[in-house]
Amino acid sequence: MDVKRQEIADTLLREVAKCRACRFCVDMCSLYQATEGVESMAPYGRLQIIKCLLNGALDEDDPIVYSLYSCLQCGRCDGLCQAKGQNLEVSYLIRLGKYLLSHGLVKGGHDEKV
Amino acid sequence: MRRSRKFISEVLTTLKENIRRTGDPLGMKGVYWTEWAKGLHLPRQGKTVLLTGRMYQMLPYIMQVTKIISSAKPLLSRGGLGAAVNLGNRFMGDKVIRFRAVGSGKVRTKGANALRGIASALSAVGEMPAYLYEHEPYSGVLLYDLGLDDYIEEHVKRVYRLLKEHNVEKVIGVDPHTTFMLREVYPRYIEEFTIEVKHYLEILSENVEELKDGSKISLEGEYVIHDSCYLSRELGVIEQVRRISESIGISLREPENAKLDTACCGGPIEYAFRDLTEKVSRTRIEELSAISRDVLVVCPICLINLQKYEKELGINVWDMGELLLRALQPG
Amino acid sequence: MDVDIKKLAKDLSRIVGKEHVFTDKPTSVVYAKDTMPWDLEEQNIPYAVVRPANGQEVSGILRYANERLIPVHTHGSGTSLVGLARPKTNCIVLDTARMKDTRVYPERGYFEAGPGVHLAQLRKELEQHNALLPVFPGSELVATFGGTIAVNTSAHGVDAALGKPGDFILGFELVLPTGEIISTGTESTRRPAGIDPTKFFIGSEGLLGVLTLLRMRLIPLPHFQHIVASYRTTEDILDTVMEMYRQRIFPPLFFEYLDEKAAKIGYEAVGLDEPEGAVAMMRIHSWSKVGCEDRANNFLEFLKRGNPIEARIVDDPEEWKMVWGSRAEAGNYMYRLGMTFGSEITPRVDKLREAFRDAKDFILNLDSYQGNEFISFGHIGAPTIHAYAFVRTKDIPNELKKAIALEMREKSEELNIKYGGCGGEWGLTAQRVSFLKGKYEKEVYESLVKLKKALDPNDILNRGNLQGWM
Repeated sequence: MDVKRQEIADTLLREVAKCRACRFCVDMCSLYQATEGVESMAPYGRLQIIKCLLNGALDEDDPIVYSLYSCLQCGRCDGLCQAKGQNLEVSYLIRLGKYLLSHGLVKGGHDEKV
Repeated sequence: MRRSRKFISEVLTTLKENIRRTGDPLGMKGVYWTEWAKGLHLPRQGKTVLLTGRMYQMLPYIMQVTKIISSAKPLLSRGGLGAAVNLGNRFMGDKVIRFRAVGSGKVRTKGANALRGIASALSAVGEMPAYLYEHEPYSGVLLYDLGLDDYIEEHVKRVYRLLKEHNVEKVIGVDPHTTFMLREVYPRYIEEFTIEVKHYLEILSENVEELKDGSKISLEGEYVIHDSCYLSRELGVIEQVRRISESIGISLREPENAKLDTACCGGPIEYAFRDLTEKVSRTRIEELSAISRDVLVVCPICLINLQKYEKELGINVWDMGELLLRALQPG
Repeated sequence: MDVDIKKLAKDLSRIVGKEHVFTDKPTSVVYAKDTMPWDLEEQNIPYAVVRPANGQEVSGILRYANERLIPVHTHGSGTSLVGLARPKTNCIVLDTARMKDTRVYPERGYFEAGPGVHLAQLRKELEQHNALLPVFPGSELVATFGGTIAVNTSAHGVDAALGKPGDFILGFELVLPTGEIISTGTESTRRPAGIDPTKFFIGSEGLLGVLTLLRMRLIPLPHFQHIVASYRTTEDILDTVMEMYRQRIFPPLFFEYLDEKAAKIGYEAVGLDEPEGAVAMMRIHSWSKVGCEDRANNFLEFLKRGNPIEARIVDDPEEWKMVWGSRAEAGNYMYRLGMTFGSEITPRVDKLREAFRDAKDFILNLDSYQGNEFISFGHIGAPTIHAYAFVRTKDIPNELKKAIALEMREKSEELNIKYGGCGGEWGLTAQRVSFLKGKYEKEVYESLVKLKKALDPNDILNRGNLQGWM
């Protein structure tokens, strides 16, 4: 992994480790509501998936892509984590997760699996 | 969920290629973003420039492509921006764009009116920005949203160089995403980013008295406001919408999920997951339409996503730009 | 256990529909992760997550599970603080989120709701009918109604003031572990006397059945008055609580405290002036407005007799918002700056001081870690002490996190055993089993095992929780 991606991966690992799975961000997420409460379609679930991706614990593409890329980046979760949780910029971290994923997804880009 | 990887992969690859090759996410070579400015005779040069980011202008093409591709290849039948991106690449800006599919005409008109209204309003408060016409660049915001960070720098630098070549010192954005991109993301890639970035609502809000004076009629009616996620949460433009609405005579009603708590229209994932978008946008439009038949939006993506429900629910979805045009140039 | 995942997916799809079955690892991991700070291990990862819409589908899943002898772990919000939520063995996770419909029947005096509705949502709906949701957890944005009644938590309510939420349950529809759908209780506002099975399932922690419809009496919204008091030391607040019970003064609905450290942190975070010492905050309730004011005044008089630095009624709702918010902020501060390992110590009222002293003592002298801080706050009027070991860094190896958490659990349960109480919020299984076994005669635990076996002969439902597995 090149330097920039390694830095992003380190940032993600460090930040996502702060998530204490309080799940306060879950209820407000439009995708969680749209899927009638599927946890992997909520901000908390996406952070857990990113964590497992970074730890090499997950390698199933379709569900991971579906979970991360279905995030609207609307930022509603950020306010909740700021007020009641760990003050993480959740939507930004999910976007970074998309960045890491995009490498395996863009042809003509780096094709490494994280 | 199935084949998500394959589809997203296609869209990301094509998007990156389109932008690299033509600077445009749809990959179209032909200029499609200047039609709205016909007859306005906006100056072509100036320190302050109106930046549409081509967002309003893209809307009808997205709709057209969606309607054309009804029985096409399975992946393309997803429609929306994803298909438009792919199709643009395949046809290289060809004649397919000239198809007039049902419905896209209305959206084309709404988008054009919104832009004309915005330009008109800025002029009414003494701000006369130039417009770069065919030279107007695309901001690259889709690269950011979709995590294509490796390709941002090249595009951002290209756009910044162009703006500097045109001696631009200040940019007035008309849509939340473009404004966000220039204000928050560009400085991360450009060391000495010296361009001032404002959103048109910020400028209008600072000059509501002039806006009021410039209005030929006071619009009446009650509108329910759908705040844009990016405008509220990323750019902090919330009260400005209220102030401007008041100055042109409309009264705003707030849904429960408003301002910093606004609920998304579902637009940002429409390119890939239309079934999910449908659920999100339907939930939102039902919340809004329960309050008023007239819905006010301040973002082209919200506009295209929510206007779909006009016929079904018997409502009207207005962009702020359209209302500004009606107030400043009735008839 | 060798499970053919593809076949499992197919079989479960026949019961709930394809779109409501997940067998991919990412989804399984997300559901399995709970609030415990250590990582998931192999045995915690589910085979599948299934999302039934109603009792019929739950019944289908459980019958299937019994045939195939695959355990089923129920999932509400995943926010249990004693490890109930994390599956203890590879299993099918049964997510209750789709069972969230709520119907209020004012003319019948009750409402019915599915187990998956989030409490904050339920509270909002009940308030529209001028009704009270009689339970107040900090996690209510996501905590589910089913989980709340299955644990029968009163969260930060003082039991002596209102009781536990199970007290207001009139009946259930539920599915037994072997798959039979049964209904219990009454449709009248008068709860049955006698051997009504509703009682066996309230607080049954998911061991004896899956609740699929809950019926609760409508309670009118009371009036509230608020009081804040500061004291030189936490011990002064403990003395106040003990006196309150000794003098048989009707307790407030909420009676919280922040110790000296937590009070400083919490107040600063909400923008209030630094308090002197420890702070106690109370909510008084009454169904009479005049009565409420009267009760508040009387309670204030009682507090003043205990020599606080200051005690007063808080009339300004904005000020109360900040005072009340300081509790959450004190918690946030700790959670954000480092790692916290908590405890729930609910002693006999007259042993409050001793229990507090012992808690402070063992937390500042842990075997598994040296150099942590002690901080405490909680529902002291209940009386519950939440005593925390606070480590000012997030950089602790996984195994050490587990070791500290387990030592905290073990030693705080020893205090519960020593001082006569057993918590009032978090349940008694999973990480609490050591308390169950330590506190009561062995026949008590054995009876629970027998009861479990009688209703769940194949140990399908939430296997491992009664055993105390990790």
